[in-house]
Order: sequence, then C-alpha cells, then structure tokens
Amino acid sequence: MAHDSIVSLVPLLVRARRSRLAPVRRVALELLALYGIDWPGTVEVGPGLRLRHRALGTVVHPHVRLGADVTVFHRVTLGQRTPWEPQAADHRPRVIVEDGAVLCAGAVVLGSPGRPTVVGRDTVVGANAVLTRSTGVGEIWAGNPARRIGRRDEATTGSPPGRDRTGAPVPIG
Amino acid sequence: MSVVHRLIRARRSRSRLIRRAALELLALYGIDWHHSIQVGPNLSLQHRAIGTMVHPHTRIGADVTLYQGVMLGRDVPWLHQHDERPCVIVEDGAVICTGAVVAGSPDRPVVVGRDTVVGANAVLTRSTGVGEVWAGNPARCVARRDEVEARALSVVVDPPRTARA
Repeated sequence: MAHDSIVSLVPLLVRARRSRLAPVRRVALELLALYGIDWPGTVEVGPGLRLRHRALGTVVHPHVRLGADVTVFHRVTLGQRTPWEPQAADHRPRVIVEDGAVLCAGAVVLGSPGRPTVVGRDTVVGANAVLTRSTGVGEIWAGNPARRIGRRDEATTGSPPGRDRTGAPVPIG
Repeated sequence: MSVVHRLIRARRSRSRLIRRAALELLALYGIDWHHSIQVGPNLSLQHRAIGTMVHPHTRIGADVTLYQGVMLGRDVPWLHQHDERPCVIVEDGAVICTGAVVAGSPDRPVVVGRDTVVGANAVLTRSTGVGEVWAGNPARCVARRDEVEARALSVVVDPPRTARA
C-alpha cells in the first residue's frame, strides 16, 4: 500500500502516551488532539498496531485492550455503551480487540465493564458499523446495529465480476 | 478556488516535493488524497471536505460534490492494495453526503451513477443507477433524485399556527 512508505507521527505519539514521563505523555496528548485523536495512556496495545490514514478522528476509552497486529482506520470509536455512568472508578476493559482484528473507518464498538465487547481474532468490523455484541473468530460484522454478514476467509477469495443492479456488467474505463 | 482545491491539484504535481508538501498540508484538514486519483472538472468540496479519505486510483467525474468525512475506498482493506484499477467510480454530477462510505474492489468497482446522491453516514457497497438516492447502512435505494427535488420545490409552507385560548 502506498501509504506504508509515508512516515507518520501518529504511531510515535500513540507510543509516547505510555511514556513514564508525564510531560512526554501530555505533549503527545496535545499533539494527537491536532489529529482529532483521543488515545489515553492506559489503553493496552499489543505489538504491530497499524493505524491507517493516520487514524484521524479516532477516540478510545481509557480501559480498552488491543491485541497484536490490530488495524485501526480513521474515525473509529472504542468506548462504553453507557457513557452516562461514572467511568473512572471501574478499570475493567469495555472493549477487547483480539489479535489481527480490523476496525474499518467510522466503526463504533461499545461495551460495558461487566460485559465487555470482544472483537474476536481476525474479525473485521465494517465501515460505520455500530457493534455492541461480542463476535466470533474470523468473522465480518457490519451495519447499524452490526450483524454478522460473512466470514473473512470467504471474502478473501475471488469476488464475482462487476454487475450493476440490473445485472448488466459494470464498465471499467 | 479554495486552499483545499489547490492542495488537491498540487497532489498531481510532477514535483515529488510539492506532492509531499500537499499531502502533509491536506493532513491538517484531515484529508488523505492519493496523487493517482483522477478528478473531473468542477469538483465541489463542501465545508472543505474535512476528514475525507480517498483510495488510490479512484475515478471522480465532473461536477461531483463531496461533503466532509467521506470515505471512498476498498471493501476488503486487509488485502493487498497493489492494483491500479479503481475501487470506486463516481460519475458526473453525483453528490456524496457527510460521513458516507463507498467501498468497492478492483474486480468489482462500485459505480455511483450519474447525478446519484449517497446519503449521510450511508455505507454503499453496490453500484447504483442514474439519478437515484441511496441511504442507510447498508445503503439501499430510497428514492429517485428528481422526485425528491420536485417534492422539495412543491412544499407549501404551513401557515403560522394561531394561538388558542
């Protein structure tokens, strides 16, 4: 992907949010805010986190767990299903994203401390989906409210040739 | 011509330095716009199209209107992206409203038909016809654009309610 060659500040800043030095954490917070990102230092992040399109506008709850090799697109929200309840006292995770999951643009994943929403290993949460239930492994969830629309390994194989709504082939070019 | 329009044009500059500078400046508007995107004349960017992300090789026709937070991209983003065929083709006169996501694949590009409107926060993964209105997640055809416009023009303004004792 062409964007991989572009060095972005955002992953560095996200790492700096877990720095031991309070001023470094604070500077990273303010710089991430310029990208529209709210990423607390208490978020647990596994290795190999990929932030696509600089993850612009992404907002993460302080008590969220991300596994290894997770991909996060822009405008993703990971948070609490009941935002009107007090947040600080309870440190249990609201959302657990397992290894290899993909959170597409605009996806919202909400859970509560007593019943965290688990995005299973290698599961994809589609664009603009609103997910409040835990998923299985290697699934594709999309829509509002999100429902399971397929399995990731099936979507990875060849897609049928382009057809429009009337069944006519879509012209390319 | 707005600053964002100029920067988008600069993304197609022959100078690598100018392209890179435009990329970084567009990032301040939350815009990621690849230099391989083909754009027709009279592109209209409402509210500076803040937060708009467009996939490489997307084809955008003439007189297209983009609102803010629009995503034109790939439906299976976890696959390799090295393909020079477009994932999304936006035909002339289409309007893509705020937060809409249009996602296709090189094998099966999503075509937003001529004069078609894609509603706010819609997620469109199928090609549309001409002059339609698509909305929802997943997006479905909810109306024809000319009917909506005719209805909007024929609305009779309610007379002010008289206060009752």
